[in-house]
Amino acid sequence: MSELLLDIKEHEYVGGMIDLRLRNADEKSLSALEEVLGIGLPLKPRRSVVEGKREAIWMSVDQWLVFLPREDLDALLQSLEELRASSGMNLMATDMSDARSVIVLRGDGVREVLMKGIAVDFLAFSVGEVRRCSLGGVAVLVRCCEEDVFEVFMFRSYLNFVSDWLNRAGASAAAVKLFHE
Amino acid sequence: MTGSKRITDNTGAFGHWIDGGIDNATPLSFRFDGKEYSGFKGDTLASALLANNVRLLGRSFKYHRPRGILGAGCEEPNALVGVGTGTAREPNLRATQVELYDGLEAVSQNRWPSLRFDIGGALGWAGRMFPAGFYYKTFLWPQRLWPFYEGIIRRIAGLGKLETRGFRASDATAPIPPAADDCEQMHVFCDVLVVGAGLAGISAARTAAESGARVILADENAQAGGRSFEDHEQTEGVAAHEWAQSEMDALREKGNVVILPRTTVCGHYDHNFLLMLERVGEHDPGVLSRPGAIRRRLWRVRARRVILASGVLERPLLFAHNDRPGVMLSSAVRAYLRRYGVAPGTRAIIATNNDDAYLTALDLHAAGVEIAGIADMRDAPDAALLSRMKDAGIEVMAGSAVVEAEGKRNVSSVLVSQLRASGRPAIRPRRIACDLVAMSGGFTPSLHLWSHAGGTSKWDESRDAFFPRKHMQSMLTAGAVIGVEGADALRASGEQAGRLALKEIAHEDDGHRLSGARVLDAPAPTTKTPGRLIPGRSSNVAGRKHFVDFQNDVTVADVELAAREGYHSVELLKRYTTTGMATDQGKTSNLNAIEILSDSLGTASENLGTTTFRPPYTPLPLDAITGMRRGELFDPSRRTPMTSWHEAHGGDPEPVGQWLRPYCYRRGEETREQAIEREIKTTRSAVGMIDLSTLGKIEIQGPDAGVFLDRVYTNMMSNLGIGKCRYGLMLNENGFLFDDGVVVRLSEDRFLLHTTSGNADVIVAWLEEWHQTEWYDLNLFITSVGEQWAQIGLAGPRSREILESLESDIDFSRDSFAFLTMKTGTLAGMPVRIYRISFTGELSFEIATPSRCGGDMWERLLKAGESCGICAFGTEALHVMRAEKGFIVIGDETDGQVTPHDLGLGWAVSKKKKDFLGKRSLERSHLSSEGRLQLTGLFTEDPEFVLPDGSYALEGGRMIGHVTSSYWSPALQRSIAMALIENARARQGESITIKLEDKDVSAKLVDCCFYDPEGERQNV
Repeated sequence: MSELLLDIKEHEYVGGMIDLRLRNADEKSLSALEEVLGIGLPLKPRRSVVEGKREAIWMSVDQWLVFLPREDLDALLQSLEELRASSGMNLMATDMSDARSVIVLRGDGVREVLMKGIAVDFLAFSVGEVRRCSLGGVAVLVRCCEEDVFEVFMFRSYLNFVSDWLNRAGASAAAVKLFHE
Repeated sequence: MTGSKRITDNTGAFGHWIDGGIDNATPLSFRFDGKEYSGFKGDTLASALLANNVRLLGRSFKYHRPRGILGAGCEEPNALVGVGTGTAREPNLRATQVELYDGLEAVSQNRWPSLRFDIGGALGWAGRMFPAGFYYKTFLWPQRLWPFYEGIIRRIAGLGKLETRGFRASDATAPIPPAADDCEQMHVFCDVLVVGAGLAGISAARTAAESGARVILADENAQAGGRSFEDHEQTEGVAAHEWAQSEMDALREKGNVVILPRTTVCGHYDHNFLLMLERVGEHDPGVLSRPGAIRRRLWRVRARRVILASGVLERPLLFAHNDRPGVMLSSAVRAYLRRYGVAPGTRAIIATNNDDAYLTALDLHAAGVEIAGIADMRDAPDAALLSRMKDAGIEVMAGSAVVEAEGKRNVSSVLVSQLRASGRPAIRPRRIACDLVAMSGGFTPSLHLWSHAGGTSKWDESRDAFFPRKHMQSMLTAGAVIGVEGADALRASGEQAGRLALKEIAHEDDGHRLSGARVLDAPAPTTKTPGRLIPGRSSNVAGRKHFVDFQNDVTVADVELAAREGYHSVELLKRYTTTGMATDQGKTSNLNAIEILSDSLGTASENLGTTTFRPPYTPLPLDAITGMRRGELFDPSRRTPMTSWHEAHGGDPEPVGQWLRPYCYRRGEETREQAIEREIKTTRSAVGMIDLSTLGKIEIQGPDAGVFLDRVYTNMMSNLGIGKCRYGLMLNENGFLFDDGVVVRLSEDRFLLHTTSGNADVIVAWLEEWHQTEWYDLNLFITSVGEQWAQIGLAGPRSREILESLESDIDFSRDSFAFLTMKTGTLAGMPVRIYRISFTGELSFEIATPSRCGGDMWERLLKAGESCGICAFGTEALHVMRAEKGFIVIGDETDGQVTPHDLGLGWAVSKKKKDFLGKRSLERSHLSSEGRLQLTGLFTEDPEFVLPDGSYALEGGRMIGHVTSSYWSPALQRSIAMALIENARARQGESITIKLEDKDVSAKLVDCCFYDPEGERQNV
């Protein structure tokens, strides 16, 4: 087993996660939705909004992932269904709390390790930025939570593979130092 | 002592003016062709071998001529060796670029039985019979002898050999060879990539870096400085290479600069995407010995600007036997002297048509090598140079050329002739003894990278070479590659390029766009025009031994023959003679070949142009491209929440898409067949369970969801009741069946689709494409929920009993829970959706639970079923059981050309719907005609015999169908098969013949549903 450059921890995601779809919404509908969600929705690509224990991540032009405590999940899904029924909004909310796993990467050199497999300039990645990319053929969501702390989300079934990949790329003996201050 | 050797003074130290990278405090030992030698850290394999007076390095490709070292860098065509042992041996490496390490093992190539006594060399005598176009003209007739010819060609062709022991089937018992070292890839984005760390490149990098821009400086050598070692220049008051080293030290301190030595820029592609190969651990076993270390790294660079400072390549002269060991490029001779402290001979002759070789004469002289003379093809060499030679006591023969090298395994003498006005040599040549010929035919810019992404070049008459001219991409140039000479000028050229790159980037950042081509000025005129290249023709110099392409053994005569035969373009010349097509990509031959062709055709070189240079610049090992995609990481592999359990309980895996699913579960010493039989018997008599989590699951919600599903399925889906299930078929636009699965209506406007495991992502993409591009007015969303749910199939007469034994709020009784319906609730304390559907024909329930509960649910069901003797069953048992019921499997009964009607599934095709995908195609004459293949069951005459899957049915010499699925049926205790046979429905009860390789088998057409045809077993 080779010595690692980074701290790599994989775990099951234990919070709640809702896949939220909305299309052609006017301002009134959007506000109503945000009211029910208890959080604003990011309208620009690769951004996220955090409010208290909830976070909303931009996934696509009509799609968000909403993270929230598991205990609040059922109530929120219920409220969203009520909103949809009453307003006739073009909306879909799906419980996807079990679909993804997460790997947390810590350490100086995280960005370079990710760049061994992802064609994204992570050196220019700022805290709070989120990006959907492909790692070793697997679709992942990369999020920079703090300086030198990154979270990599992937569908649950790929966890072992992505973890093996990161462990291999993260070996100290293969460390690469790119541009730095 | 004659021959080449390391230069030392009386104390054993190197001469004071040797200033290369040799560390004489660190001796190393290595082996070449089994013999042990010593060298120093900083040597290349080539310099170390030369220091040990090893001058015979290989045998040429076609004629097996003895060959030695020609150059000192990547242009080396002859000294190709295999380095490493066993399966780690890498063939075809240039000895000039192999860095020496302690314990290195290398072997020469293309010779048998040895380098000195090579049988293939005998072909050299038969050279006249193997002219250019050889491969196109011989071995054609008689055609039946081709296998014999092929064996011969394979034996004599090729260069290095891979060690394949351990990889052949016959070596099944041999130990598995150790895994080769890992490689990896690296993406990087930069502002400026500088290719080449010579004087110009270093200056460019420094200038660009001063502004804080991200700069990458890459050079294929371990040491920066380019040709500053060989050239006797000074800049800023110090020796040029010293200046280079101190600049590099400064650059290393800068955080915005990445310096990559040992890194070849292999290819330039559109939008300034480049590939670079970094040799990380190749040169140092110490580096590789750390766990996790890698051997090579392939960089994938996206640069805003590229500055090409790739320098020049030296051209050989064309005289008879110019490929003899001991004949070397003049600047390479200087490199060996100055970098490695090796004198490549004891008595040298300089053959040249330009000024640069005179520096070689001076260096050799200073190192104590006897200079027999300088043969300069120009009539009037520079007076100042002549004067310096006179002072040094070196004879200069102006207007003369070396016309032939003599000697067998090494040059022993040359013939030098005066040149007449016509360029032809005078009749009576002078014989001059020597063991080293330093030849220089002039220098040509290294244009490969310029050309890869479409840069074009233009001929410069005064310099006798092609120079970069026009490029559509953002590639700048600096240094010798655009004809700049002299240390100060090279630095200025680099600085200028650096400034221009920054300016253009700033311009772009301000929102402007650079469009159109970049056209370069012609290089500054030079006073140092090189002279003629070719000694001219006479009866003695018929060109047959004048080598142009050393690697492919192409001679001047071959090029002239091609011209005579009508191959007048450089592209045709290249393919016909194979010049420039070897691993060196014509670095020392391209320009010479163009000149010979133009001479033969009586046209100017500029009219011919160059051939297209293609990446990679130097050979790129395949493992660098593969990177980490080896072994476990070759392809993403997916695991369900129950995969660990399967692995721990005898699950025999089979790949299904990216999943590994258990084919069966082997207990103890069971064979697969025994396991499958047990699983089926248990399931049909009691209860069995299977992990179905890999099935695709898609939720569709919206007011138009029903309309949408009506269009993508053959069945009506919009009238499906809430809480009901329906088996649906999907056709492609050609009317062919490509997926099937159960659709469940969850609520008024929410549906759940199931797809086959391998097709899950394909179907999502299919649905999204139709929705986004054709039916965007439909109000709905598509969400793939496959990973959210684990799914377990529980089948068998006692399945209901198991479910009822677990705490639940669901009523599982027959009257309450009808076939093809669904219920939601909890089971064993976990949320579930349960579908009563059956693929096995038994009473069966599919239990979907959120993935986090999957493992627990599996264990709870197992435990609950213990008293019934429950067992887990795998994919094969499932396939057999469904076949016993005549149910189809996508990919077995379908092959992309099968319609629902062919399969007897016409009942699933709605006649009421106005339109659906594939409807119109089904009405085409071909798809609704008589005589189509139809699904049927088959009973072989011999009930013990299981037909091979896919076997063909023949009748009257025609193929009338094939077997789609075939198994041993435990329920029937005989073999069963499903097949697509012409007109099968009208031929029920008839017998047909299945033709196998060794025999014919008779089978009767029977109904597909072999077991429980009334379907009673699932209705309990």
